[in-house]
Amino acid sequence: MNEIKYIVIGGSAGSFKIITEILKSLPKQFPLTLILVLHRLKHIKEGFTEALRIKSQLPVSEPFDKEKILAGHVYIAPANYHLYIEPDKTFSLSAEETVNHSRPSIDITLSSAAFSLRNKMSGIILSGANNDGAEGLKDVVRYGGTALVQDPEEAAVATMPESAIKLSETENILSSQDIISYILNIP
Amino acid sequence: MPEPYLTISDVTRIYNELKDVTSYDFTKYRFSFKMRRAQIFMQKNNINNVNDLIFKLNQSKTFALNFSDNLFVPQTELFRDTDTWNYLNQKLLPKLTSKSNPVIHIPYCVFGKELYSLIYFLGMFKSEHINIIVSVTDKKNIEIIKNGIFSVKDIKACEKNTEQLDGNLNIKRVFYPHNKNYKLRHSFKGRIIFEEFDFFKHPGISEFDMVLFRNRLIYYNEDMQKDILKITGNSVKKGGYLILGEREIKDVFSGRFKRIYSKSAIFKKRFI
Repeated sequence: MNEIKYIVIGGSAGSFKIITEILKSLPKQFPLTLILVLHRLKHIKEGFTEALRIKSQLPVSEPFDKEKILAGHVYIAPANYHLYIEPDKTFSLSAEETVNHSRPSIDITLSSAAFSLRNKMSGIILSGANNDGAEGLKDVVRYGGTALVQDPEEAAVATMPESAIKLSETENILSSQDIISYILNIP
Repeated sequence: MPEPYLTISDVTRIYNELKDVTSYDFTKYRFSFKMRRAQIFMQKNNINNVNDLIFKLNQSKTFALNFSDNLFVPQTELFRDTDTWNYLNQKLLPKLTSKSNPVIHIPYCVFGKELYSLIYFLGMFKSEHINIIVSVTDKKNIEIIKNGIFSVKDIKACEKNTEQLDGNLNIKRVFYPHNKNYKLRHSFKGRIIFEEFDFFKHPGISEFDMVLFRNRLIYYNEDMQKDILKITGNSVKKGGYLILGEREIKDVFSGRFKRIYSKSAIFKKRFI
């Protein structure tokens, strides 16, 4: 039986298209939690989440600090905050220094999710132009989660998937269509 | 060196030891934050084993104090969250500066980025009767804040912020070079009073016209957050303002405070 209840997806340059395809594909009764950490401009606060919300049948929101993580919900890391997943299944935010020039940092969310959620989570790295997410995905593997990476050959920008594959040593390298099928077949 | 792996019991052991050596109690801080700060500190000091860290904390109080310093993170950027600053500039500061002797409090100030962002705007009002109380928990921060020196990295980090402020400010208009660093240009004429005390251990203090307390609550657990919010809320005068970080609190003190600006966490204390 599949234990996965949470999916954490990290993406940067070139990932918006596949993110919208994933959201569009999720049925209204999808029972898992999706947590998206996407590199975004810190001073653009409006429009981003709204643009993703209209693609999804599930509720989409940016969590507040200490908000409880709900099933059947899509969360987006807020601009200019790091997003941690706590062992008590709540979010916490942080304004610590940037990691890989990024805040939110994919590494921080993935590492804290890996620690807190163990084999109940899956981490996915999509297209992007820096190394963020690689350390986090390595932690996903270490703590018993499932690590997936978008095929660098298909990704609009290959740097992020390539470094995630190298560091995490995952062999789960999938096309965007296979990533969507994987997510839909978890429940 | 890669980040060291820690367990929940490792984190508990580290912070118990830190408390024994320094008397700083981080029990009520969020777990993930404490774990990450421990990992960063260990990485910086080339320590890959939790027993080695605990040994070093126990051996040297200076080392332990350096560790605890690493937990007092700054509010990240000058002029962070420009919607908040623009609203302050347009709506709140004109009201505050027209009062007689208004008092603004910045609790738990660490590096002064909130203070300097504030006095940049307050300076434009040419008012001499404003009092800003800056409370710090560690005396050494007073000198750091008074010096008001910002690195090239600090200036770069806030460049986009200044462009988004009213008047699309050019970074060169806001800062001037000082040796290899920068200082803020401002014409603030009021009083800044530095005080070394833990505001949250003195719940009786009140009567501030505005409390600027952004992005600190996020590091505490829920119980501590509630306690601090209560003390902070009590310290604001009726009709006064409380400013928190944008995503810190979903709803705050329903009844006592009213959110007055939907884009920011700016609250006004009701008169009733």
